[in-house]
Amino acid sequence: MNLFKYRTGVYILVLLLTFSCKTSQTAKSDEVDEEPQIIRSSDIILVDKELKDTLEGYFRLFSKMDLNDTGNRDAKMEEVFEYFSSPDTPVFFALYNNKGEKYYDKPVTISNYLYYLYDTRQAPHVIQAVKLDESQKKITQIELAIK
Amino acid sequence: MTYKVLFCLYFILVFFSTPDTPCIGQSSADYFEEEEPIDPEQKLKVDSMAMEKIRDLSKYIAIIGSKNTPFSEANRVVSRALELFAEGSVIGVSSLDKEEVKQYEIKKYFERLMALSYDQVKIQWFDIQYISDLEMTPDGKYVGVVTIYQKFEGLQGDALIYKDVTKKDITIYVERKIMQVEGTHVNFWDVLLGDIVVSETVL
Repeated sequence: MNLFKYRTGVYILVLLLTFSCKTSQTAKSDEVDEEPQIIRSSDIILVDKELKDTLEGYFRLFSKMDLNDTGNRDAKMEEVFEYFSSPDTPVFFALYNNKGEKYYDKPVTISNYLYYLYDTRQAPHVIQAVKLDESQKKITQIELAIK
Repeated sequence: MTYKVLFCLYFILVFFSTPDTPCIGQSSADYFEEEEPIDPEQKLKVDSMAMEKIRDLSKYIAIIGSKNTPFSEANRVVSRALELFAEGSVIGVSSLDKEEVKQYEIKKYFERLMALSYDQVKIQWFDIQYISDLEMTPDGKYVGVVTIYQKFEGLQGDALIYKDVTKKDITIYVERKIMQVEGTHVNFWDVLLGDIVVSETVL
């Protein structure tokens, strides 16, 4: 009887220890998953004023274009794409920062963003940051915020 | 017998203690279900962002309905407008001479709008406001209702053939999501519009 109680006690102890280790691992795993995500400051190269002014000028231009002049619109889009790695370059819209973690509106491509400006007749954003490719010539990501 | 019970208990506990790691594209309802609601200042920004989607839709509808819009452009804008809606959403359509409010799938509604037999169509939305604030639901999503007034004018030549003002209620769904863009995880608020219900039609 005593032997039985002793063995039972050992099994319960092993059980508790194992479960405790597992829980600890889970917590550690969660910590890794919940690391601040999205674009880290080290990834961002703040946009220089000339580039910022040029692109924001284009954004204003698209918001005022004649809705029937699609030829001019398409030509200007090609000009803007010269600054980007591709027409599918992602555009992020920063909403707010919560404890170091940024939250955004749903990202779009630069191509769709230009259409958005053209269709909605407004240019409500300013450029906050851009990420350049290795050659430092083409934009691979751009982050905007409401003026 | 007791050992068997203990071993069974052990394996059950170990099995169910496996962590649920959130995945990219996983619904935020799973990932954020235990989170507290966002603070009022942040919620204002989400409210405002959601409202902006409604204003965007009003501009898309005006372009789609306008007879000055080339067919290819109207189709492009329809695609953009459809991206604003949750799958399966419907819109109510009313007129002054019929009591019945017809329901159309959003895509069908845009196609009908493009095909209206007027020389000119003018559509304007105004007095856009929340009638039911965005509230967190048990599954972690936020749901609200926005009301809008739509002024519709159909012209043949310069003559105004038909005109009405319709009050419509639009359900909005807002959800926190994570997506991967070029290897980067991005937290974002996804706003989708749901059904659009006609609540009143007047001259």
